Amino acid sequence: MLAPGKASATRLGMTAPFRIAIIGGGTAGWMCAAACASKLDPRHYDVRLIESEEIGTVGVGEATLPQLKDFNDFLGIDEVEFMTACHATFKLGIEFVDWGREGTRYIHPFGQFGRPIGEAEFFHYWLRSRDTAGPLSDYCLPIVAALANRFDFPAADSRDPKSAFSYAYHLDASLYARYLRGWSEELGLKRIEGRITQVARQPETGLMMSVMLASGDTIEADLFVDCSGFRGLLIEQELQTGLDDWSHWLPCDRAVAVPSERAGDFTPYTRSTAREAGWQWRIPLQHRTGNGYVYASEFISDDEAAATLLSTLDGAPLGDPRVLQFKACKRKQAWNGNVVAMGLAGGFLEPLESTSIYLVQMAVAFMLSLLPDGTQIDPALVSEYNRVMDIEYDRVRDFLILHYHATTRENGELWRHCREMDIPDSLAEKIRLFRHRGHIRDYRDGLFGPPSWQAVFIGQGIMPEAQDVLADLMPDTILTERMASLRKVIAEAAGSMPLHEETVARHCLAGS
Amino acid sequence: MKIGNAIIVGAGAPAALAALALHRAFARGGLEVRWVETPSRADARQSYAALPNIQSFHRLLGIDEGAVLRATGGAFSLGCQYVGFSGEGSSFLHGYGPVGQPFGSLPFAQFWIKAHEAGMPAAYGDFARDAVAALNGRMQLPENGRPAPTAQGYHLDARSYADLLRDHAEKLGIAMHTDDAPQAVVRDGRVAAIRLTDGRELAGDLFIDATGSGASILTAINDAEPTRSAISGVDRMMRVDANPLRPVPLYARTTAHRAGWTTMLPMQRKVAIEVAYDSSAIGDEEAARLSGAPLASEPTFSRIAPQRRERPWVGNVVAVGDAAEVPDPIGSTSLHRLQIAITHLVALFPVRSDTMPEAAIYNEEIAAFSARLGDFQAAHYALNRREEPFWQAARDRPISEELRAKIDLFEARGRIPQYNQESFSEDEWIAAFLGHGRVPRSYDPQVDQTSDQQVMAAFKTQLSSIRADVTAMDTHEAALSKATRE
Repeated sequence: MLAPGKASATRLGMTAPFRIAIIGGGTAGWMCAAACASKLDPRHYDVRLIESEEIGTVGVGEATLPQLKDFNDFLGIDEVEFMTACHATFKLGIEFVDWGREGTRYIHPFGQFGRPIGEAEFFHYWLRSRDTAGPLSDYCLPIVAALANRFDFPAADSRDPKSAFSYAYHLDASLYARYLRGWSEELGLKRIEGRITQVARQPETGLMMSVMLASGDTIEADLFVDCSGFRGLLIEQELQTGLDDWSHWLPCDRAVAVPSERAGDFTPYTRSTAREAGWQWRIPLQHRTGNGYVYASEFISDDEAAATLLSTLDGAPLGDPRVLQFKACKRKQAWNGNVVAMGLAGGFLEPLESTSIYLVQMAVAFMLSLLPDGTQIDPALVSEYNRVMDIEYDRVRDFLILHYHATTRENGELWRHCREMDIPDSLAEKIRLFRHRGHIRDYRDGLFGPPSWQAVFIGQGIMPEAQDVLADLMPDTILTERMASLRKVIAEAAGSMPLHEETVARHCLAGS
Repeated sequence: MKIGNAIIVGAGAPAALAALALHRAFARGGLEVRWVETPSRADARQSYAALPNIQSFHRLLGIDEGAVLRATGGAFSLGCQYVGFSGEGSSFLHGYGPVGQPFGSLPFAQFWIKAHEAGMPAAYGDFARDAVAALNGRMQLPENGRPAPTAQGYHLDARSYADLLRDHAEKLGIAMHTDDAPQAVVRDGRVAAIRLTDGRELAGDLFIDATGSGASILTAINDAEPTRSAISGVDRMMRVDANPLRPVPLYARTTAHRAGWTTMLPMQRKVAIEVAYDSSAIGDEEAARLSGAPLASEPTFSRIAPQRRERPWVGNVVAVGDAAEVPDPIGSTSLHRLQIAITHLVALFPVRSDTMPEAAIYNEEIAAFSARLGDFQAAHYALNRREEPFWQAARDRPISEELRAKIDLFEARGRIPQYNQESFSEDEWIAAFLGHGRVPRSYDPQVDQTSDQQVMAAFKTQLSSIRADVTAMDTHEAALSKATRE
């Protein structure tokens, strides 16, 4: 067994602590800092975060994916405390209004369609019986519950019909960053206030050596985590890493955002409504509703977009609309030398599927498990990090493009453009196979499994011509009976859930 | 429009498994399955090693485990031991199960690396329940609804296995035609029918080519040459039987020799021996001496020429078995490849007879499976530490980018990049890399958050629970007798 005293004080061959400097204190910076504070031994890793009060942060979206709960659990964050602090509400999916064409709506849920009822996947039985079985959404508990504005926690017993879903949060991202800051500082994470004015690199290796602050202080580190936002202070301005530009597939490049007074339904889902030159989000928080219009500046002016947004709010606006600029892209190597870029510095994909915070948490988790422990950074660690992050971005990209491409909308030049544009081969193949037989390939890594694709394909009007042959084998009477009974079970389970508003009030209501 | 019938052409397990799988899955829906059997094209293989997931495959085909073991004289197998690859005397066992218990979200291996570096003597393999059970000759079948604590595959006699499958196909009423020279009838670039020697034509919608490496049906519509895909200098194989070992070992053994290797697959009434070698370095007589056991049958010799067809599914023809790919023989992967091909064919069974876009995805996924499995095989050659020219050359052979990345990341951090269509788990890769003498230079820093005392206590608990579990398991003989009871 272990020789006493050995390997406890220093890691394999480490002589001095490895220094990590996190540049920027937005959501990404503080998520990274919180993970470092709770997962790294301070005797081996000296972590500090540098942020400036002068530089505002961009809240990277207020809607999240269910994985955020895993991240919080991983850190050991208490859900009630977190939800209360962030004015958070529950989220069972995203409703897409007018996307496939005007007058249609569907929900992309955080859960499965149906349950296993035979040797084929449930979805294929629905395809077979779709003329009589009613809409696909009737077979999905989180959708049925969401449409009734109901929310309850998933059951732990996998036999319970109330177990087949997960949930995410709507939250105020700046409050989340503030919460994580307090949480990290309590664990001893060092925060340095200051604006970075200069950067120094080692002349021979080109590696980052230190950053200098306006105060004249110099901070040295072995690894720099660039969470400085779109500009990419280190990864781009300094290292000129370059971007994979995806804006020809995802032409939206601006958003105008404004919060409004809470009004209308207290939905346990995000709403995304297609507009002439993009789409508008509606995110219900406890105290207000987040709204924004994501648009392509090629097709609409800022003023028109703001006017559209203000004229379609369901509560009075709280403040003036704010315009943000961006470009759909991914950093060519998010980890370059001794700089790891995450958050907006690592790439940007519009918040249509609430993936921004997810991409940060994956970046943080991969970085931790591949963290160097000496100044010689093993290239194998870097290439694995870039490989897995590339997969994450690519999967999200294809899924987003599908939303714009699979449409017969009449209104708006943007939509005509997206319908007719060339799409990535990987996506074209997905569409072809789905149309032919409802087939969706599953992958080991990355977001969006078959239920997500099924929801969007069907919701946006791409209907398979046939289904899996295995689904044809069940006799009609048995199929009809199983479908009907499942639909009933789901309706009853959803009906027995409390209202979203009640669950929030009971569980995590923030003080006024 | 829908597929009305499927015609399998060929012999042996590939043809039989394809016929059974399609019949079992789709005959209820009206699919007619015919099998044109070509007895002379049965391959030279005398044995198969099967991975544990063969059991669910057999269940789908309606084949009973006891019947397989009775008919083939087969035995259970918990893994494969590799001997002498890192020099004389070195050995490790690739067991088919998980290794150690994770600590929360962190893999066991990361904790083991830290403890190993600090001098802990317990080997990685000591935490592998299946490997420990195998070395102790113990295993356990599922009993009274409890899942089996060990994951077992089989060693099977190839000919009696094929005969069993054939009998089963006949019993199910699959229409059989015996013909040694069936020809594909091509119309408009697709196979329309199979013409038998007597001139009769069997029209079909879908054709399964199990005719061996020549793929005579597929090549009727696709003249692409197969890609040569050697991963070693092995080009010849001697196959022979030896007398059974008592007790029957629960694992295969592959021992490196100066220009190749010898595999022993223990079964109930014999040991199947394969001596694979580079014929420019070793003659057939020397090969016979390398078998490592007194021979109990006349040895047979055959050429090994690994090759792979980029597109095993073209038009309405799907090639399986050697017709799709002849793999390097190390690690006995043929049956596993066949199982992957056939389960994919069932899952992607074409919904229309006039157009089959399923082929593109099938070909891509099968190629990925094949490549990742081939990487595992290639690792045994690439990581060897022997001095002979054959083995030096094996180290110098190019390897895939993915295998390179696996080796590099393992050496850097003890992690294995996992791609789509992996056949083996991260634990199995780690066992193999450690077994071949590679040691990671660092471990995940999150490991340091758990105190050494806690880790050591957990390790002790795991080791003693494995010891207790293994002691309580059946012997191989007892398990075989339970499994083969009528």
